[in-house]
Amino acid sequence: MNHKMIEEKDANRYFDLLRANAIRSHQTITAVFLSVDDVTKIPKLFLKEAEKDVYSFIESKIRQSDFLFKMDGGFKWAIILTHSGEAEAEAFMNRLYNDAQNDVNPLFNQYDIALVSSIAEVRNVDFGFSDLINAGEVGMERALEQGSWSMDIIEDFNNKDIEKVKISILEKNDILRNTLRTSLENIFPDESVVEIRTFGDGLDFLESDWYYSSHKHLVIMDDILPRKNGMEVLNFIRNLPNDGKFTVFMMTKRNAEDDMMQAYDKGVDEYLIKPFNLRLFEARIRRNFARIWA
Amino acid sequence: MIRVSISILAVGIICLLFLLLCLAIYLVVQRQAETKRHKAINDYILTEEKHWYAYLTGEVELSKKLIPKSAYEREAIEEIFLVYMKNLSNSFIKERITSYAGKYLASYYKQQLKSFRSSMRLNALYRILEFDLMNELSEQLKQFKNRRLTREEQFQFLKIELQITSGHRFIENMLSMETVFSEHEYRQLFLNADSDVLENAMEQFESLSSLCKWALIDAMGFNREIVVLSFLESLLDHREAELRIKALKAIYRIGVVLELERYLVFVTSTMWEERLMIAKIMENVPLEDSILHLQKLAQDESWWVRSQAIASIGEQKEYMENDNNKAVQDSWAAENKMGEALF
Repeated sequence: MNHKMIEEKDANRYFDLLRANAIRSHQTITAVFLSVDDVTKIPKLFLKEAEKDVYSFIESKIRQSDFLFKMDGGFKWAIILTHSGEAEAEAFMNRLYNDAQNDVNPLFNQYDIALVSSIAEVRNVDFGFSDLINAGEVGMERALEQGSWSMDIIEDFNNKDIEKVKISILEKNDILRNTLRTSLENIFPDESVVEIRTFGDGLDFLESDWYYSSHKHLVIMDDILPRKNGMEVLNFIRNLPNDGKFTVFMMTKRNAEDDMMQAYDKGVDEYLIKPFNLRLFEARIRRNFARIWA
Repeated sequence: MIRVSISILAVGIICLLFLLLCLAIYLVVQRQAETKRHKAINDYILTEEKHWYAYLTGEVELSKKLIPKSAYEREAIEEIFLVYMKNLSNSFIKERITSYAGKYLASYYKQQLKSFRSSMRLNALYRILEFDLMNELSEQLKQFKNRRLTREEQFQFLKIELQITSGHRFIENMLSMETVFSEHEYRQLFLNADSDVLENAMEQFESLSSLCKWALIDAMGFNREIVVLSFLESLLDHREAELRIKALKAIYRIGVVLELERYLVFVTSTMWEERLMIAKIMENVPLEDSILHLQKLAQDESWWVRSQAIASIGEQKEYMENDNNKAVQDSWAAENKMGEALF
């Protein structure tokens, strides 16, 4: 489907929207900048047509969720690849290069022109649109120095802001509760990144405002608690509108398969049968956080 | 009529009041001592639990600070150890606890085993088992066995023996005891027993008391080991009805039926409990083999049997609806009508 070509001056607000959405939903976007290596090889008479032709060719290769716009200065374009990181962008560009060289669009062979590109993975909001465009331009020049059909990787924008995560431990036994807390504090010593709170029963947790925020929230709880047991707390948080932010580890002495199946059906993510291995528990916590912070 | 002078009465009342006052003072003092003890234990735990975490997880080596210097500290350490043993399965943590208990707590438990108070001895037995000190205190345990023990002590001792003696000797020791434990207690033992003990129990099955037999069969069902299936099936011909019913229940829990013919005699049993169990067991049998029997059970005089039979059919309804066998489908259609008529 051919859409009206979007210019660089109009692309800013689309980029900001895509970036904000990506960061909120813990996804990655990547900006790809492409240009033709030597425009002088194209006769002046056919320049405008050739530019449209290349734009259409690129547009036919991107997904519906990706965003293509024309950069200022002629024969330069930029694509914002959504849900894609640097590696996927490289793979995409390799396919594009292959298709261009294999006469899928005969324009490249007809005029003996090639593409060069630069790739910038975007993982934070610490820069403006114009910074990205400038970096893309510089990257394309570096790629041009390397030769036709080459790619340059820009690493200026891929430092991810570490998202703060909350951990709640709901366990009636003081010693076990504090042991788990100590174990988690050893893994995550920086309180500004991971904040841990403990509760002796489910009611205290639910009556607090601790779980209100949009932060990712790991809840480690025992199934048996003095007031509002684990399953009641689970039921409550899984019925919240933003329940996707919760990851629930349920500790229990019950190891019957029926109990486990019921717990998973109700929304438990990990089932810990007491007694459990503390090191294995820590490894599972780290794995969960790797997914959250990926 | 009894005549008592007012002065004697007054003296009596004053004496009683004095006794009550002494009792009240005693209770208050005891309560305060108990509160003080709890506070000391809790304060120790609050202050030292991070050090204990570091030691038990191997971050640091043992420091003098962690060696108990008072009864409160010892009790607090026991409490910490118990929580770790019951909730965490790391072998390293268990080894550290056993090693520490062997060095710094075992001597206390040795003394406790010699105590005149049964509660002290029982407490020591609990700790010896929980902290795995059987090897450390093997001599004391041998001597302890020769004492006159209370019922609770005998049971706790059996739990210890389960960990340290072979299956054959354990069953012999259990049989040699005059004390008869409850079915629940026997079941606790068998649920924690290894295959060696269970095999020996099966070999000496007829020598066991009824409660012990029932507990053994229940434990086999909970464990769901197919290896005991042939033993359980051999009990289906037993003269005792309770054993047959327990065996059927255990077979149901294991969930495997090798030869349905073996069980069909229970479809027409005079005991509704047996008919109920066979209806349950047929949940694990393909409907094409069980449907006729379940249909019969669905017309049973007992409501429990009827509803279980229909539930067993219902479990396999999806299988039925996908099956191409017309005869089986016809049976199912007939059963559906029958079920609607019954309920």
